[in-house]
Amino acid sequence: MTNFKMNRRTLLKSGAAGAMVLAAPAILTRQAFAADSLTIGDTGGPYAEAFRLAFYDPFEAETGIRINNIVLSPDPVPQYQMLVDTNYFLMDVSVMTPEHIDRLNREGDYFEPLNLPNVNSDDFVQGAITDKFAAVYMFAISMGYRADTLGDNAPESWADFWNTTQFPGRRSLYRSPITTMEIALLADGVAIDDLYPLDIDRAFASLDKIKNEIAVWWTSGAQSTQILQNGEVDMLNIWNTRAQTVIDDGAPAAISWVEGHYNLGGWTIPKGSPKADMARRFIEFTLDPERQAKYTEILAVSPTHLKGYDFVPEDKRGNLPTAPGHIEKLRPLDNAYWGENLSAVTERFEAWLLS
Amino acid sequence: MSNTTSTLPAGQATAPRDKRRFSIDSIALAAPGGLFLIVLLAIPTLSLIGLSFQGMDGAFSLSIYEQMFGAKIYIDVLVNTFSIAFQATVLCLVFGYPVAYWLSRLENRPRRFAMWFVLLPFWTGALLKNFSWIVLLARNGIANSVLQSMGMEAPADLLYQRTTVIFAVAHTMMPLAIMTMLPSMLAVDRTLVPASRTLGSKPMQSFWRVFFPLSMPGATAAGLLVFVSAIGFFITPQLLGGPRDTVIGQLLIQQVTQMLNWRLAGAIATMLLAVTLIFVLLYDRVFGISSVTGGASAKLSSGPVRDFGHRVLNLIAMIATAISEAFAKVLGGYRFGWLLPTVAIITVLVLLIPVVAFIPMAFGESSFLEFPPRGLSFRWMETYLTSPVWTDATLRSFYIALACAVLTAFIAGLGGYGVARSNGKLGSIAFMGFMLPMIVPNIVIAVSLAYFFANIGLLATDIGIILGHTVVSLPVVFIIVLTTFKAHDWRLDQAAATLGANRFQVLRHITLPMCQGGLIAGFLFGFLHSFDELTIAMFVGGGLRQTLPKQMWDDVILSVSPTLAAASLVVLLVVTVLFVLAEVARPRA
Repeated sequence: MTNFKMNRRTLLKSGAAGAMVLAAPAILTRQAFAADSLTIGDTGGPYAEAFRLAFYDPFEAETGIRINNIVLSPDPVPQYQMLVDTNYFLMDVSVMTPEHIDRLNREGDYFEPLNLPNVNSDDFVQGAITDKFAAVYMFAISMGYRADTLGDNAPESWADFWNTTQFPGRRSLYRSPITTMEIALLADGVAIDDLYPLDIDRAFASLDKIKNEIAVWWTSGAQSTQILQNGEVDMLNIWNTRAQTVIDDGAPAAISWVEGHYNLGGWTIPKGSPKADMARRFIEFTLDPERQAKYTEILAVSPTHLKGYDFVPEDKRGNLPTAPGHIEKLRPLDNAYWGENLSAVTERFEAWLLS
Repeated sequence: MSNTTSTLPAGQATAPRDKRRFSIDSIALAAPGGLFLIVLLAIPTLSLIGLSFQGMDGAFSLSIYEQMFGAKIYIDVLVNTFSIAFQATVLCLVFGYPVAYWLSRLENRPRRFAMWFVLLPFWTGALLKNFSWIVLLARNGIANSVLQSMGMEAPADLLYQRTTVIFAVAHTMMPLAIMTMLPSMLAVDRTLVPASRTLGSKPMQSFWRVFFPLSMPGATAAGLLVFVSAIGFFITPQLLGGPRDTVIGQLLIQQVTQMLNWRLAGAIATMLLAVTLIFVLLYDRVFGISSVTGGASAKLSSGPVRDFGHRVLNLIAMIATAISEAFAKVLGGYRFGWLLPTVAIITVLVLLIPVVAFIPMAFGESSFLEFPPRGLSFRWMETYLTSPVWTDATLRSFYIALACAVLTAFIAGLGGYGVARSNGKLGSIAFMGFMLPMIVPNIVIAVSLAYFFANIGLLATDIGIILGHTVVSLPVVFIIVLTTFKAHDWRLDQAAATLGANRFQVLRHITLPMCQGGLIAGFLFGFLHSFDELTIAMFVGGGLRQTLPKQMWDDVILSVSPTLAAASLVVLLVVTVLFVLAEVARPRA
């Protein structure tokens, strides 16, 4: 494989790209299927890069099992459902949040039990390890903005975000009620500890006030990165990881952690997966604190293993949601609330958007 | 869909009449196609419509329609859809007409050369062009830099605006419009305009009162085809529009792929189909759509419309003449010769911009799509080539396209032969049947098929995608094959037959070899159509069987990485090669 890579690179650089492009799929696919392999659904972008570095490549090196990854839809639930219902295992392991799992559990039995006898859930943050779910990272959603256009006059709360006269600029929000409802209430003066259960009517009334100022309703993490990176908008609600990617790329962006929420992300195995045992082996591999810390080199998420933080490089600690000065401002997202209410609120949200 | 009509010689002389017995015989060859379309177009669409009229318990119920019409948004979105499609169609006609007119006045060789620049953006697909716009029109993108260097102060908000959506939809559909208008312009007798001039008409009058009316069948056909395609089109509004630019296609995607709400999807599809068919019927009443299907030039129907049309044309001719005469006086002669080529060439260049722009993006160093890209690197090409996700999707697209091309060529080949050899009523019915997938919006076909396949276990299978692609490629391939057979001199077959050849021998040694070029072109266009197709792949693939366009679509939505540009480059290469082959193979009358 290494040899082949070298050859190909030389070839490409010497300009024979055109012919290679046409022939390569056939050659490469045969390579890919030659050994054992696992396909993992992750959220792409910096997540895919970081997991490649921390988990995929080391796992390949240790076991010889090749890891391929695909990017999940912003809402992976329907695809997951279809995959299990039709027994077509496009992926063997999939990243989910507890909210996704809650929704799938309402539909039926969609997960293989993880059966990880060597893993002690007490070593992890609360809720990270269940019989169907093994969280490997903690992430936050908060506010991102352009430091070049907003400068000293940066918004420091969602009320500021709603205040378009004092904080002029092009705005964007997530095209999903999750967290968008929360910030609408925060902007309207609800205290962060009194959010749940959400007052949906009040949230929509608050959103009405900002609606005309929202230039873009972003639909995927990648899009939120793109519009912050190229300056299409000046402020938006965004996952801290996606904003950090922009900052790391050198664009003048910044994150405000005030009144944000955090959540867990981790592995599940689709029910009936023929590679469930291999998948379990992979999942156990990723629950090591040192390996988890490795992903922080690229991705600004916090390890779920309680010892993970000790291995995080000094210069990366300040970017994590769990860093002192950040975590106090964050609250956990109520996954059970969204598991129950997402489809109804989404329907209303979409109708509201179009009206 | 492009060349369909371009290959249609309007009002071409039909093949010599054969004995009635022979023609009844031949039309039977269209039967496989008919059966195919009944099973994979009529039944799925009707069962989806049927589903929308059922309640949860399976009994007849209008509850889903009450829900749909109760929530105002579905009507709003329908209005959006039609308004965007209508405005884009007008733009296509207004800017496409001069290009087609310019092409029609070129000599054969330069015209064929110029046509490639129109057809290339067509076959490279809507996806690539639209994601190119995202980068080019960004607030800090190249378009804004140019505007600012020309003295504009603040960057313009070009993206997520209705105007941009309409522009980009028109941009996507423009080649279709041009290629549909061209044949009827070529068919206009070139001596008519000089004749009118010798009778004393001014140049502008000659154009508006002689040439323009004669070119109308092509323009009306283009209007219809562009409009129907634009109705089912969702790529541009999704990528370049805001929530207020949402179209029906996006709602269907949401209901089917996210909510799995088939009844509501069925109701939305039924509404879209009904409105589309009403529109087509009205259009037929006013303009006559025989031009779309290649019949003799449209009978510019009844009295009032025709009179009105003439009056409008006379008025335009008067105004245009007045203006041109005034300028001619100032300039001392008719010095507008440069105007048409300039407009046409600029339009063609604009068509090419997004296609050309993404090529360098495939070789950028940055992790983001940027134009102009920073640095030079092959890392994205390498990512594309080494990622099984991308290579699998590419391979799948290749073999699906191949299977689809074989199946389509077989069905359309038989049908084309049958229809070409028959003059009866059955022939025109079969003809309309084969054209049907072009009149039913693609997105309706896709949703219906997904529902139908879900019931028979073909959802999220490669076979499902192949069958779906075959349905939507049939009209194009059928038209190409049909024109080929119609242009064939059947007296040669008769000659062979009188010399003792049996029917099989005639077919094998005379008909097929002589029609080879058209059949190969049909095969290649079937391949291209499938290779490029997104809508069917999205619904029938169920998010699991990824074709290359579907993978690219997901990447635009989920990753926006330069890998996409690398993949697009491959698509462009494949499409260019096949397209050139098909163009070379295609016989020209």
